[in-house]
Amino acid sequence: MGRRKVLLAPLDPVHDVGLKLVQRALDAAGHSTLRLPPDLSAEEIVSRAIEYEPDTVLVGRTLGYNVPEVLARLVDLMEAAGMRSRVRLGVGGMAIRPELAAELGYDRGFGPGASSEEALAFVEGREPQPPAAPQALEKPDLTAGYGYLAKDREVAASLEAIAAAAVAWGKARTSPGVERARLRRRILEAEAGAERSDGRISEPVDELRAAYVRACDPPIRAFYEGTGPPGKTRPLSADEIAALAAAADPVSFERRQVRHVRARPRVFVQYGTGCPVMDSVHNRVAEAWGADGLVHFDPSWAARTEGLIEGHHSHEEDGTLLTLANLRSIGRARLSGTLWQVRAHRGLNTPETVVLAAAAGADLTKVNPVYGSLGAGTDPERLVVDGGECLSLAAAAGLPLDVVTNEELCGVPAGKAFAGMLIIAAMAVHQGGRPILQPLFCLSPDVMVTGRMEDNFVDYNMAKVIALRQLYDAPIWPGAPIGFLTHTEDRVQSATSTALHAAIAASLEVDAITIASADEAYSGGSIAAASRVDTLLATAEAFRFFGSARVAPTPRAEEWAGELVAQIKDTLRQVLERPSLVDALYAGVLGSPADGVYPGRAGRGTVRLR
Amino acid sequence: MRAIDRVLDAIDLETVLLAEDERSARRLASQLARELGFADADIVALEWRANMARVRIRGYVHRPGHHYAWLGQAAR
Amino acid sequence: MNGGCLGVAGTAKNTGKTTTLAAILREAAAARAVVGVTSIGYDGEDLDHITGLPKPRLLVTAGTLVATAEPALAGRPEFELLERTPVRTALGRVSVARVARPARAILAGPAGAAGLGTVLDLLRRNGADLVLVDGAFGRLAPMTAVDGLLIATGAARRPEAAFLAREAAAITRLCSLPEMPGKGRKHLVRVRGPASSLTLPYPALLDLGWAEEVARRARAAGGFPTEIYLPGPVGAAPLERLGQGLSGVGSVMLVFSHPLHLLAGGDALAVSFALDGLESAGHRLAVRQGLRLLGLTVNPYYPAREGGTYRAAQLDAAELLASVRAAVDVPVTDVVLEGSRVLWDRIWGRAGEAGYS
Repeated sequence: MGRRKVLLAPLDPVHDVGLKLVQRALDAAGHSTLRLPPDLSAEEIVSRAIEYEPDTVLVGRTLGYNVPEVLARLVDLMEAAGMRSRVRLGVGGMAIRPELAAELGYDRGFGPGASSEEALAFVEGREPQPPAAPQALEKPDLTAGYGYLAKDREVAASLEAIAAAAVAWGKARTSPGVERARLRRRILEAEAGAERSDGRISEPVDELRAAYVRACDPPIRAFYEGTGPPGKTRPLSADEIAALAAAADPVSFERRQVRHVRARPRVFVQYGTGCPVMDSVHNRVAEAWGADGLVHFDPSWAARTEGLIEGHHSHEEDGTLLTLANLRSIGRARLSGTLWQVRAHRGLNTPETVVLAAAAGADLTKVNPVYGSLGAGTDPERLVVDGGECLSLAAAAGLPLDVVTNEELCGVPAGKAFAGMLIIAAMAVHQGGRPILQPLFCLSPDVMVTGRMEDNFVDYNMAKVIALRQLYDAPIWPGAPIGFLTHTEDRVQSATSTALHAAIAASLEVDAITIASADEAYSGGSIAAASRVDTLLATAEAFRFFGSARVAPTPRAEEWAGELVAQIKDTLRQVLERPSLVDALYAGVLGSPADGVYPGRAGRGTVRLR
Repeated sequence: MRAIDRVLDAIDLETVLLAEDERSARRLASQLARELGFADADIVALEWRANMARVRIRGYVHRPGHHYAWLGQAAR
Repeated sequence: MNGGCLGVAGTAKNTGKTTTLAAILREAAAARAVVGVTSIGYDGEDLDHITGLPKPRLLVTAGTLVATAEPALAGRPEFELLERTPVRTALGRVSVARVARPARAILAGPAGAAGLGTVLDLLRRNGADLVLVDGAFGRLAPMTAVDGLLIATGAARRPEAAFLAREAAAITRLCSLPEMPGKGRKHLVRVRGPASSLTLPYPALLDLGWAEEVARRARAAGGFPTEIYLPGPVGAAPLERLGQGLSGVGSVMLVFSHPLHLLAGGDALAVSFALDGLESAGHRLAVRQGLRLLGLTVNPYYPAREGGTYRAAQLDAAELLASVRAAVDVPVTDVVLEGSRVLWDRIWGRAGEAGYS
């Protein structure tokens, strides 16, 4: 391929930026170019082309009234001048589609999404690059490169002591949640075995399921006994199940990029419309607009009931039911490079949730008995036992997990919440797991009371990450979602707030973020797909805007990071003074009624010594 | 095939309404949704100032879990 | 109809090319002719992609041959692929297919005369008795490859009957310039005087400086008989400048390459006016290759722009037809008003008159 001569003609009164970019790419590739001034007539352009004798003419024009006629006239003049068979003609502009380029008589049209590289390929007579290959992206490991070492000697010693004791305490006990998880695992194993041999469900599965049902609450037991699904749920129809299956067929489409120059943070979105079919379509929307990961939201009532139902089910309200069938279908419909998290952080079914998550092929889970018991209504003793089992199951399944600190939303100061988070992270590491720290980027009650965000939303959110990094070498994934309690029902405000929080996260180079939709503050119905696009677009714009530039906090960020470190250390000392983690939880060391949290009651009295 | 059958979930209507106070703005917003043929509509956001209301009305075409007219094409 | 090729061009978009083409397709099917059809642009969408208004559909009957870009044939079992061509369009490579059962055609064909020649040959070789070429926008120049041409004009060009009649007169005038076949290179301006012949490096006359240079050379050529060959598109202003430069030279024979090249700039009236000036100064005009203009069709419909959108609007159909008819000496048809049969008969009547069958 030799050096080409290219005439660039901005057939436009003003704009020739696009052509300048193309010219830069052509010059860099060693071609000779001549860019004409804007606003020449078609006749003048053809005259210049006759003199310059180019191989290719590229015309740039924003489409407007009568513009197609002018573009067509240029082609007609080139034809009449006998140049059309020697000169290739390309046209680029906002409304240029291939059909219009063909109608106008151009060899190629470049629409708004076209790159300089596409124009270069056209000039060089190469075949246009085939559309982006199916998204066989490599799935990133958010925990790669972290050593999980406490960087402060006192904190290291405290965490080790508390975590070791809590793990041992939990292992000496069991609960209906732990038992059901073990039964579920045996059921899955038995079913897999039965299918392999004669395709029949073998006798032991029935026995195992009978034992499982005995360990469930009445509504779940009623489901298994055939009395019908729990309230506000219904089985999916054959059509819906077929649609879910079809959603898992391989597809190829071009994903929008959310991240710009930085590899981090990976962007997660939450889903859980209640309907697995709608979820899978919403997730496709999120993936198409660049989401790196998906977080499954389950209904909160299910967390207060012992036991989980089976099969494909739809739920009338927010939150999609945790069943293996639902999870498998939703999980299979995602692109191969998309990370997927199934949460097991609260409620009476957390260990079984981890079993199902692993069986459905999830990449991540979420565990935090401290938040789950103080902020989400589950009994501390029960959840420390169940949470310990979750950590052990996640480690065995190789599932990294985030340790969420949503108790901050109830009023617990960040320092206390972080102490709890670090304890759970240490417990995970103690059992061979890979935890991810999840501080909130939020306008929490404590922050409001102490006025730490009166000036800006930057300093305190950054202080949190600075403090955690001073203490512990672990991945950080602010969430969930970022900007919690800053969102209003207005979609522009909501998306902007999300985007700006994302910009702080990118500036800090944290590993991941979870973003809300623009419907975050709207409670009247389920999230609309369009609102998912809103915040992904806004976040992409923030990443594009800041690039590798950083957001600079005021000196208060460092000051508050110091306060947070002190608060964390002080809280860990107080936990150490207690006989056990569970005792510390009941005593309010990690969050008290004065802060705004109360030890949960669901599952109280269900823990037994092994 | 009707275009509305291809709507995934809802149609948002955004506009500014002339209204003397917030209450009448809400009433007008609901009425507007009905006039436009949305039987199931909700006001997502409404901010009233100076006899005008910036409003975002959501007309549900398919609530999650209902029968989707697009079912069967969902995969693509 | 022995493999003859009929083009349907327009003075602008929405002047009725597709309606005219559809009418001819209908009549050709009734006459049991094997028709090959292609386009120098793109046609066949439900809605116009600029105005968003509905477009007439292009229906083809079984046995019709179509030459169109491969994506327009993909996944359509009504079309049986016969042959691929090396001709490319912005939508992909052009292929020839046979219609297996009645279908709606989407035509995306060769943009230039060279590619069109290749495609026409292929359609004929595959058995087309008559080949139809659909135009695009006001693009006329590729139609030099056809044997006979219909030009569609109408309110979409300008919603003013008097203007359309004047322009139609100018178009037919340019299309009826006498033919004067010549020898030598066809692509560059040549000035031939009584004693010398000189080729200038211009494949067109679009620049005032070029016009001055041509006139200077003509003056230097030294008197009668002087012939200037002007290939390619010719602008009205350079023509006028040439006329000024030739004053006092005496009668010069001006030979243009093709009527459609004179129309390529899109301003038939201005070019015709400039030619009037040259004629009244005593110069003579001819074209190296003539054009069989088989008639005009008129279309009173136009998309009226209102704010950011368009709505369908219409001139008085009878008045438009009468105005244009009075201004020209070729058959003028309103296909919608008069029907496709009338158009068909007029085309072949005219073709007969023109010694073409």
